[in-house]
Amino acid sequence: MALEHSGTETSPRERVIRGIPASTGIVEGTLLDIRPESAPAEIGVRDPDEEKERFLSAVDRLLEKIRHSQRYLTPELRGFLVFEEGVLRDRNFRSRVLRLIEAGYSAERAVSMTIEEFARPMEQAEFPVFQDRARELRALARVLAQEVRSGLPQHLTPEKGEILVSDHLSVQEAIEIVRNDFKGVILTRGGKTSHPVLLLRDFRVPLLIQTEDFPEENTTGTPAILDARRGIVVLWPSPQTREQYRRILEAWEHREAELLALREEETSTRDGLVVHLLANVELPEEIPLLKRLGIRGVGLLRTEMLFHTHQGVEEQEAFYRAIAEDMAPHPVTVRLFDLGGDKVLDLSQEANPFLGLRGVRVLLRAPHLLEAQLRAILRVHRHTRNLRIMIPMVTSLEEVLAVREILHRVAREEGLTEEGLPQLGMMIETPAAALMPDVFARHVSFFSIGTNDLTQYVLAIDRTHPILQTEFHHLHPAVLRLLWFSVRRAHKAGVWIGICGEMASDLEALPLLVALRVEELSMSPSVYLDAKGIIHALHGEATRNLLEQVLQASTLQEVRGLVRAFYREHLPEIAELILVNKEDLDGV
Amino acid sequence: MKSARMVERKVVIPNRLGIHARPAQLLAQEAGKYKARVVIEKDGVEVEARSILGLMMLVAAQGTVITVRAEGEDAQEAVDAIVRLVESGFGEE
Repeated sequence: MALEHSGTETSPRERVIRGIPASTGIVEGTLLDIRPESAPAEIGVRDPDEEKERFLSAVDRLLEKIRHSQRYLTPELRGFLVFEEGVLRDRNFRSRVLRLIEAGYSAERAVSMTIEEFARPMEQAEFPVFQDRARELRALARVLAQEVRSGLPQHLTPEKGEILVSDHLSVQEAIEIVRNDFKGVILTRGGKTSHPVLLLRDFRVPLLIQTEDFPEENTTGTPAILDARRGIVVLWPSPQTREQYRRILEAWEHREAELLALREEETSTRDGLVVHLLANVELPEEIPLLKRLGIRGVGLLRTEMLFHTHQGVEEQEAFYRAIAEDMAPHPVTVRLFDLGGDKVLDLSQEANPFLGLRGVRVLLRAPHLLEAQLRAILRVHRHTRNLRIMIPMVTSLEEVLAVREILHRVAREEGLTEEGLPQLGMMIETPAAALMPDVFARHVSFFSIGTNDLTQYVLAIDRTHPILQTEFHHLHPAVLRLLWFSVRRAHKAGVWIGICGEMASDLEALPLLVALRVEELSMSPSVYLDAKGIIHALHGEATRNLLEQVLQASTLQEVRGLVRAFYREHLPEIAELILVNKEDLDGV
Repeated sequence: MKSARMVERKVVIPNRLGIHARPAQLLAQEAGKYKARVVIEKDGVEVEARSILGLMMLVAAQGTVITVRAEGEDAQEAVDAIVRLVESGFGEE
């Protein structure tokens, strides 16, 4: 639908668009729309010489990235990247793109038109192997178009608009958004657990994803209010709407000031049950925010970003050191490269990437990669003494033992004694691991539950599945029963256990996590203050009763109903602030 | 300079998956070793043998007949080598 322009002084009519809130907050500003559609579709708009340069340098950058990723892989894994490289080096491909650019098309358009030309006959073939390749080609076209766009840094400054609109983002773009202080971001597509989304959320950038009816035409310059708490964006807000939002913001800021006053206090329930709240982190730039909020430790340091750009031991060392020194004496939990699945590696030959080479399975097949990472961690830990190591995607004891053995060997080479080693822990994110904490407990110092993957594997729902998003939920009773089982087994074996998945950032789930008596919750810094406030207001005993009820529940709906009722009964003021809207929109 | 020679041979794709990514890669690589310009034709569509994208666009599945055509001084060697590669099933079943 086109916005109405009346031609007089009156603004177009207010329009409300819904999406999924991926980070909280409310901001007002004008939009800056960088969706690829905004690259001119018509010809003759951009200078062909500049466009050629943008295209060729994007190809070079992408080839460089691929070359980088290949260095530490086994020949077997390397094969998966060869296809992409072959396409980028294909002269036929390049010359067609260049010809279209000469005809006046933008580089992005020329890339997507050319790829389409090749992909279409492959898609129409009745052979799955060709249809798969067609999909991969399109993915490659997207990546390349993104790379072309990232060569246009002027796109990502908030001068022309403070709220950025895109279809999806690269991690690099997300970083640029944070650095340039955009007020908020709207991603018309975007996955809830994709890296750029997690990153923006960690930096507390108000963020709305998967908006359904966002105008197709370019919206740069449109005044808007982005309400990431309720999951809406209001285009051309009326004076009344503006006034209403001004009042909401005031109340919100008041509450935040109250919570900040608690920053030096330990987090505990009214009856004295202590819960350690840590943060999930991806970049050194996030640490100042953690300190400002009073967060004592990193429960999950994601390292996949390093994989593309900083694989050398010294480069990794610098990265870990920056974070470890800044956080000391509080702990920093480094998760070893968690590649595969939907992250970083395009293991496109796999029929089921989530059931294939992932996490520790990749690491043990790429020992150079694992050793370099462990070496960098050990060299930093030797001085800072606050690192912990966490193994991702464990299913079998042999995997833990194999990583331990390599860790010990690298430690010997580095001249470190047994006592000088960081704690070694593992993620519980497969049902296999969740069922056997007692077995693993003899060989690890801690557990951390990754609820995104655990939910995916328990419910047999691909967590990136676009249609099954509402059925994919960590409050499903089956997930809760398994959590309950795991936590008890871990405690019985005398090993502490934490949660670092999405669930730890879900305020709705918080009373249940308190009831489970997990020692540590590692969450997005954006929800830290709220979580702290809620735990301070909770009664540990009351949460136990809730847990007992919930463990008897039959459906996700029933669980959420019980939690909602609990909030309304015990924390009515907070329920108002956090449960409203988001859940109303879910229609539960 | 010798005059350009044109050589062509037909060959049946024997492997189960046809000319998908890896075989396309191998074929393009092989074609790149010769001075001759090599093209592959299937059902009237002709593509550069050095272009993996072009090769895959043909959707040459198992049992398809393709024509390998080359022009240039080492055209015969190029065509023979590529036909050998195809007949070997690209080392696949």
